[in-house]
Amino acid sequence: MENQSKHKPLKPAVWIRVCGETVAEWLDPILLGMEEEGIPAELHDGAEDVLETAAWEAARASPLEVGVAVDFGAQKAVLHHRDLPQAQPILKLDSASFNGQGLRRLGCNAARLVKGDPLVFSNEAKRTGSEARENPGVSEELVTLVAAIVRHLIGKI
Amino acid sequence: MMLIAGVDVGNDTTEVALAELRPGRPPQFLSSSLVTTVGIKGTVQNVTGIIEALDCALQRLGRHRSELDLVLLNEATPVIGDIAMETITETVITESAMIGHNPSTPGGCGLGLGITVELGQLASQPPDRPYIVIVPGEVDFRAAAARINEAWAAGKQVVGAVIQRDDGVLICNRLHRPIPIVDEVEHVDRIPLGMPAAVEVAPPGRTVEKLSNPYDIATLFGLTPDETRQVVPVARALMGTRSAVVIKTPRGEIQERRIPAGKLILIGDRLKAEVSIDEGAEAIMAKAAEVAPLVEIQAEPGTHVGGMFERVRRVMAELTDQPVSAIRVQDIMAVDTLRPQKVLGGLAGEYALGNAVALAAMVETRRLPMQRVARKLESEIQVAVQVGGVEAEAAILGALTTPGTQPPLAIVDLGGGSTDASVINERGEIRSVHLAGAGDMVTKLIDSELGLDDIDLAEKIKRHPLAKTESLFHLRHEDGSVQFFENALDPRIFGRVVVLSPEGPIPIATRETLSRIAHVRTDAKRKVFVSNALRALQRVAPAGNVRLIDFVVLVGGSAEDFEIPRMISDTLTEYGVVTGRANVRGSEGPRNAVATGLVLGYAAKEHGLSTPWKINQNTNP
Repeated sequence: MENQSKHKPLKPAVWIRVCGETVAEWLDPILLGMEEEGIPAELHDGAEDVLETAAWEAARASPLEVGVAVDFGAQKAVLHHRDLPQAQPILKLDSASFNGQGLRRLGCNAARLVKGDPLVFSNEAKRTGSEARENPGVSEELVTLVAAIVRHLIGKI
Repeated sequence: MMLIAGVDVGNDTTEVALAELRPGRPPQFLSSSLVTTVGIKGTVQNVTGIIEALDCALQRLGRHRSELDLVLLNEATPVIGDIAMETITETVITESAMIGHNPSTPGGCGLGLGITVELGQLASQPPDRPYIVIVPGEVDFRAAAARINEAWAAGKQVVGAVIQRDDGVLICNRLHRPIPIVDEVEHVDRIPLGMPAAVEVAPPGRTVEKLSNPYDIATLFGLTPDETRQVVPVARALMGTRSAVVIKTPRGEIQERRIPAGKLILIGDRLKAEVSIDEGAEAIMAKAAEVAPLVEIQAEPGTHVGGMFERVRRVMAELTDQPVSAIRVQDIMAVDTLRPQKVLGGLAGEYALGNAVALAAMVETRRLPMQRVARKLESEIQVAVQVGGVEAEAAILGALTTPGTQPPLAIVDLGGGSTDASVINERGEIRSVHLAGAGDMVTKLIDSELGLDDIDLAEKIKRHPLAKTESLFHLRHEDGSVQFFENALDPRIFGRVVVLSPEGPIPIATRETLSRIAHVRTDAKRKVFVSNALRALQRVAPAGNVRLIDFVVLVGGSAEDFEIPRMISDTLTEYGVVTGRANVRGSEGPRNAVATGLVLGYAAKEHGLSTPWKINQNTNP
């Protein structure tokens, strides 16, 4: 009974383990991505060990069962879930995507993992509606306009 | 003893039935096979597929082509079908009067009514009225929040915001006073400034209440009754959204405009009629029924439908060495459908469902040059090949090997390009009909209504059930049951509706719910196959009365579908008809009817074997 009264319940939050130096410019987008999706995050220090392990342990410690580990120096980040095998995280961010957009997306995905919402990948827009595949470089409005002009001209011939 | 093969070349599949024939004994069927048809039915390319199918059936017995004595080729039904779609309405927002794209994470909650002003101009505005602030993408959310707080401190009321970036929640969290914020608006630069506007955001899980009600919009903007009528489409368009913006511009509104889509000319035996495609499928089919029996249908050139008509006639002309002018479209099926389209004048890439008409057309001719195919096949495999058997007759003979059937019997072939029905009465007389509108049309409807732009995916959705990935280790099937997986599911399908194809679950990139996708799928099947099964049976039934048919068996690819046979059966029960999927030879299901029938027909003719009925040649409608 005494043990229970001393025990403080953990705040429901995704645990983010920063392994090594913090770089605010890159940590911010991760936190913003989560905030926009409405899921709390909690920062913790981490040793510079294997990132997958750090992320997995963060996920195990998090009451929301999701953990992120990031090494700003090595430009790597990992998103993990408590039920996954340690060596198989759900997402890994490589140095090519280690920028404002990629890190924001990581935060967004960490929150979505908690919510059960579809994840966002780099080749898609966040909002997936019933969208037709778009012609790269040709806007839909332009196509409509050209079609209207052609129809008009055919009518005149 | 002869080893013979019956070969059925269809639009989509080529099927083989292999049998041993001894004099005085019924044929003993040894094996069957099914492959995809190569090339258009009736062209010599078919030979490749036929050989593949033959080899496949022979391999199963460990036997070789040289052991074949005879190949029987069907006189394939000379029918070619195709589909086109015409969109007949489009949605237009004029004067940028509303925003209804329903972003997933708007900020704040409540309703704000004010004058639109750009964030940069806020500081210079007088404090005597409330403002709706517009924030372009270049502005950092922290700066935006700071400036709004400053404005409040200076006595200016900022009651709502419309922003370009996906920062609605971020800004609202940093405000001293929370306000409703609609974000992800691509074209904020087009929002009219200095205009009265209302921004509404509902709490999570709820929808806007004021901006979806014309009288509330009238209250907010002080509208006259005439102006209120004009604003009704805006209110309707915003129903069911969690956030919305309405801007009171002089004549701004949202309209559904009709798009002229060309005409069809329906030529019957004695009557002729014209119908505009944009009148919709019901009107088109009603007019076609008025003018029936149809001799020819013509479409206006320069339209999608006109182009499709040209295409289908040209293919048939080439196939039969006739001039295009000699080929006529003889049956059409029109189905109303919806198609998501980008709203013209939309500020945030909104999509709305536009009305469309899907039209299937069919051309028929007397015979396809199957002799050409037969000769090529013969030279390739060095086995005698005979073209024979009217397909309808072979189909019925094959279908009658289904346990529990006897004449009078009707079969409905649910194919890819056409829906066919044949009926045999007690005297052995056969009537058959081919109609436009079948499996390919169902796929096209699914593709269109879900806005997939991916026929392969639409085909998979047609054939296989759906599920939703609820966690990394389980998905929930359509029927509510849960399936658990030992290994974690692919992150790409996490949280998504998937179609359970044989190759594994495939995510469907859409915001639609599972039940809506399932509904679109089932509806497409009903609109095409249930109505066409009935339409076809009415054409071949005695005196056009479906009640006079006792047994209907379903054959063809779509008869294997997990939903279609039940749907057709439900409808036909009302006519007192026993309907079911065929079970050819008690083992093949709805497949292999024609291939089997070819062998049976040959055996009956050559070896004088009696069949319980005498088949009479050709009594077609």
